[in-house]
Amino acid sequence: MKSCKSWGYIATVIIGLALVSGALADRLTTFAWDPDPSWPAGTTIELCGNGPTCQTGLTGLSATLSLPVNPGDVIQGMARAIPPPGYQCGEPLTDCLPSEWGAVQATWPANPIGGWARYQREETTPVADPVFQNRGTLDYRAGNFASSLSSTITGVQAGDLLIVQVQRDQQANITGVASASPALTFSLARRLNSGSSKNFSQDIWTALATADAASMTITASYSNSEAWGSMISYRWSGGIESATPSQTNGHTTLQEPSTNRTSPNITTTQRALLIAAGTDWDFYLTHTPATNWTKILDSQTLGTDSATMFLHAQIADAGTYPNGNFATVSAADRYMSSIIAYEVETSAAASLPPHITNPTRAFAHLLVR
Amino acid sequence: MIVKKVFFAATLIFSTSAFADTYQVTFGWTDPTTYIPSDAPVYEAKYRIAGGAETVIPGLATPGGSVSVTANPGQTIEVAARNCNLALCSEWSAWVTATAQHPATQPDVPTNLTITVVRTGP
Repeated sequence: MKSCKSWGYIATVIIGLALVSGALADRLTTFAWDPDPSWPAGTTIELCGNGPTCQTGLTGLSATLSLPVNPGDVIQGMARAIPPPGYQCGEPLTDCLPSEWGAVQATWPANPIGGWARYQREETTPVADPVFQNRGTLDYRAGNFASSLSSTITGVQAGDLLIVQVQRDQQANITGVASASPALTFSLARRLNSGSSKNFSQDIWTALATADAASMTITASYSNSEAWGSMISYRWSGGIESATPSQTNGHTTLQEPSTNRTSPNITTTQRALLIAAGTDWDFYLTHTPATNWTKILDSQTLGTDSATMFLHAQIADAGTYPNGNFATVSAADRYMSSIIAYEVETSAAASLPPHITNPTRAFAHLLVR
Repeated sequence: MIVKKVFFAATLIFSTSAFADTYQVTFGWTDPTTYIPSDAPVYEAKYRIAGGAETVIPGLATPGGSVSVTANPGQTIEVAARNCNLALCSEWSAWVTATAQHPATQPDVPTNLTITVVRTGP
């Protein structure tokens, strides 16, 4: 004769998914339970529901009872484990008693009443694409040790997308990019590292202007001073609601000399402003943008003694970009670049009064305010 | 059990625009259930356009909500609902047809105003 010292309680009893019988005041309700590891072979379940309606000798893990309940009533169930005949437990060994009852109760929701639904037509107004407005000043440090770089940009309007391109050796020491008026804290959109070569890197930082400013100075601060660095800013107006890029990708190492300028791809899911930015390495080069791309900056734009940064842009529908070159250059050179997407708002919703037609008779009362 | 059909129906007539429009549909109902403390009521709604495919909106915390739908002129927008608690759900309500959100009626200027003066002092 088997024995055990602890006779498990019935585990959790769950009211399962209802199967509605359709008969008045009868509801097929499924109860389920978890077995206890201490149950010996041959254990059965006794299950009772409202009424009481009971079933005994259950060997599965669920059972369905037909309960005399109506919507809004509380469904009640209780179950206990029945040991096999002759099974003994305890000290001294005696015939095991059934487990304690496990109980569950839940309200069967009544049917909804008083339902209503109203509609209101929304008008979608097309929103113009963002427009590139202007660049800020270039801060170029060649051998001048500095712990900060800055760029001043004019004509800023609230809502403008402001992009800062800043490159420096020891870029990891940057402590942030910000402006004082309006007070903006820029977010890092993408960092390009040259890898082991010269430990040089380029960042793209972005923010949305929160107020108009005839002129604002943006500063990139560092925890130390370095000899080389450059910084410039850009401004786009309209159509951008978030300065957080939807997608970014870029090189992780310095690229071998080439006249191609490309980047690892991104795939956008809606119309977006695409920024392809980077730096040439050894030369001041002239860039020729690929089809649909617009050159915003290359070395020759600012003069041969300036930085080697470049930036191209386009506004495009959902797709994979740059999917090839975004530009070619006048001579083969090493480079690194990234591509960043900012989603463009394509329409704005505005609620309108509903259109109501009355085709059969004139309005009896027409009020205009 | 015979389910009492309490949802009313009304006719939705759209404008004669030739293009599909977007509509904000707001809906609600009353849950008459008296729950016990261990219950966890949650609500579901579903809608259909012109009697087409049904779209369920699960997990509503209250008996109501809103949804943005696209419909063509002349099509009806219908909403149905049910109350749920744990795995127990009521039957789906009858479909209710969305009606236009009429602007509030401007009350008329009072006319035939009369004044009665009652002396209350000594």
